[in-house]
Formats: sequence, structure tokens, C-alpha cells
Amino acid sequence: MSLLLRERVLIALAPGAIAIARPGRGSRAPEVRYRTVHCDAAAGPDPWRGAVAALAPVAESLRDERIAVTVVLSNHFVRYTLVSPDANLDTEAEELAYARYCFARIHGERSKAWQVRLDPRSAGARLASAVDDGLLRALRDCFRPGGRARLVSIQPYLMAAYNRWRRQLPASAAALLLVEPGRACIARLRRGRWSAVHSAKGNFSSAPEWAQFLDREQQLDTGDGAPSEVLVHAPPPTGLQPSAAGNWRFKPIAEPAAAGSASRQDPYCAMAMCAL
Amino acid sequence: MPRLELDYMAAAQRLRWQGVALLAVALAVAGILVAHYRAIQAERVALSARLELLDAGYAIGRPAAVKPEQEERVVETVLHQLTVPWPQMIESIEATASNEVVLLQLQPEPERRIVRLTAEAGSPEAMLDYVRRLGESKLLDGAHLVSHQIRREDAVHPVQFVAQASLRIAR
Repeated sequence: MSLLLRERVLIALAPGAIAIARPGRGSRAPEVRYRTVHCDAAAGPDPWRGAVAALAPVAESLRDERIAVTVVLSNHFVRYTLVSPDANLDTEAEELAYARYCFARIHGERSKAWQVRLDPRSAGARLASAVDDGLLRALRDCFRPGGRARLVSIQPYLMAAYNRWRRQLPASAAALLLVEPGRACIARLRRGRWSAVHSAKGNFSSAPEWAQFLDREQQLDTGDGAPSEVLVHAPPPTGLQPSAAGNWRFKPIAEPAAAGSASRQDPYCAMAMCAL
Repeated sequence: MPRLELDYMAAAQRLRWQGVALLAVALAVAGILVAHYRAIQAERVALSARLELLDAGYAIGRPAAVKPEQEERVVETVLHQLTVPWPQMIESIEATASNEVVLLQLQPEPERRIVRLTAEAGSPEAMLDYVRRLGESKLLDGAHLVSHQIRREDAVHPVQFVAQASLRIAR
């Protein structure tokens, strides 16, 4: 059966919880059924152990359903960097090796256990992501071949959010702020090219805390001035209303009615719905 | 701005348009094959119908039953006919004709390996001379007169006669 004909199930995987969202089919604003399973963020040596432990019985319950599963990884589980273009790199393999080198330069030996992806389409500096290989193997093990449920995509939160709302971003200069429990990630673009990406742990429950984060990260960005308006995808209630703090104006992302309704109630569901 | 592609499963998104294009080509090819298949099926049905008609016609025209020995004889006769050098034989008989003898009828009997001919001669002497010359032919043997009749009603009294000779052919 074609993957296009399967029902889609979107799963957000975060240290504190997993959300399973099942958007209906057949309309532009489908009804979304969702549930959240809380998990123990300190269940093992890696931050993802608890989430995978919570996912395993969920995946088992979905095993016999004809569904296409997309997993959205919290930014807690993903590292990002920008890879400068290099004219001496001829092949994709060379470019990927260079991206691995960039991660190793930042994170050291532990980056050897990560799987790296390099966006093939970026003009200028290219966005790269790294995910613990053990997490990816554990996710694939949850949806082993033999069941009817198919794991079709594992994507970082930034990828899902950017692809969903890139048309709302201004072409000249744009900033996308992703806020989730315990972490924030800012990605900036200038004339359609990535100019900065930063992710930080902390408490980001209000606009002033977002502004502090942006002020701090702007110091690291050596480029021209960042746009003052920032598109925000943040948990309720702060993520739902336009706000301002310091030099920043925060504009919440406009979501479709049904997806927005579900997302307004649960931050993890909002994360999962980015992959819709 | 293009989509961001950092998927950790197979690069499905990157290949989406290639996949759609491939699907379109595959559907087009499948459509052509279906049309071709239908044309072949129609041709096959038409040929089957023709074959059935031919079978029916053959069954009507075919003898009810032929015994093996009869069939053998037929085959042998046909083979004899095929082995007789008719052109050379006719040429040889015509060569024996003269101004006084006209050949009226030639009746070969392959199964008996004889040839019977009816002719008309101006005189009995011409008739006898013709039969003698017939006997000298390399392809004929035992040429003899079977019957003759002088046609009194004709002013010149021609002789109409029947002669017969064996075919000199090795079996």
C-alpha cells in the first residue's frame, strides 16, 4: 500500500514527554486526535532514554495499524551548526565529512557517536544537524519491519517547523524562535540564506527570557543586525499572543484552525503538528 | 526559500519530485502497455474466430474416412505422376508428327505407365509410318496400333486411329 494512502501519525519526542497526534484526512483543517505520555527525563545516561522507553509500548500498540509514522525530535536531542561553503569539496561525501569535522571541532570526541545530516539545498552556509546514533537505532527498533506501521521520517524540530512556516518568514531577513520546555532555538536567515543557528538550555517561559536569549545569541552572530521581529513557536500561553521585550517583537506563528486548537492545549502536540 | 532537508530516514522528501516524475512516466508506460494488451487481445479473439471457421470448413470438406491402403495407393499415384517427365514426353510425341498426321488427343495413364493417343492420318501408310516413328522415341516403348477407321464420309478418306505405347521410365 502506498505511503500516501496511509494515515499519518505524528510523534513528538522530548525528554519530558512524547505526544502522539493523529490528524484526520480529507479536509484542509482536519480534526486532530492526540495524547501525551509523560516520561522520566532522567531515566538513563542519555536524555532520550526515558522518551524511547515511553515510546516503545506506544509503538507496540500502533504496530498493527496501517499508518505512516513521522517522529519529530526535540531540540534537546539535536545539535545544529552552519557549515561554510568550501569550493575544494567536490562530492556530497566530502561535504558530509566536512560537516562531521565541524561538529567534532565544537563537541569533540562524543560527536563520533552522532549521525550527521547536511541540508543539500542551502545556498551559502549550509545547515547541518547531528543526532545520537543510539537514539536513531532505538527509534527504528520501535518500528521494526514486520508490523504494518511504517516509520517514514525522523526529523529535527527545526526542520519540521521551518518547512511548515517558511512561507511566513520575511524574505529579506527572518528569525525563527522555537521554544519548548527547557530549551530554546533561534535560527536566522538573511536573503534566504542561513546566517545563524543557536540552541540553549534554560527556562524560556516568557518574552523577557526570550529577549535575553536573543540578546546573548546576537553577540555570537558576527553578521549584520538581526531583524527585530521574530516568528515564535512556543508553548501556551505566552506563545499565543504577540508580545515585545527589549528590542524584540515576537509574533506567534499562525496555525490552521484545527491544528492550532490541539496545539494550543499541549506544547508537545504543537511540536508534533509541525510535521503535518 | 527551499525546504530544509535533515531527515534521518531515507531521503524521501528530497526525492519527492523525482518520485512523482517517475510515477508519471510509469503510469504513462502502463497506459501504453494496457492499450497494446487490449489490441493484442482483440487480434487474438479475431484470429481464434477465423481459426474456428477454418476448422469447421475443413471438417465439412474432408472425406469421412480413408483406409490406409487406399491412402497408400493415392500417395503412390501422386508420386508416379510427379515422377513422369510430361514435358519431355509430349515434346517427343509431337516430334513424331508429320504433315500427313494430326494428333487429336493424348491420354496418359500414369498408374499403368502407358500413353494412349488418338490421331488422324492422310493415308494408311502415313498412319503406319507414324506408329513406327513413335516406337523409335527414347521415352516410349512397345508402340502399337490399337484401332483404326477410314472415314469414308470425308472426300480424302483420312484414317482416324488410336495408338498406345509404354513409358520407358525406370521405377
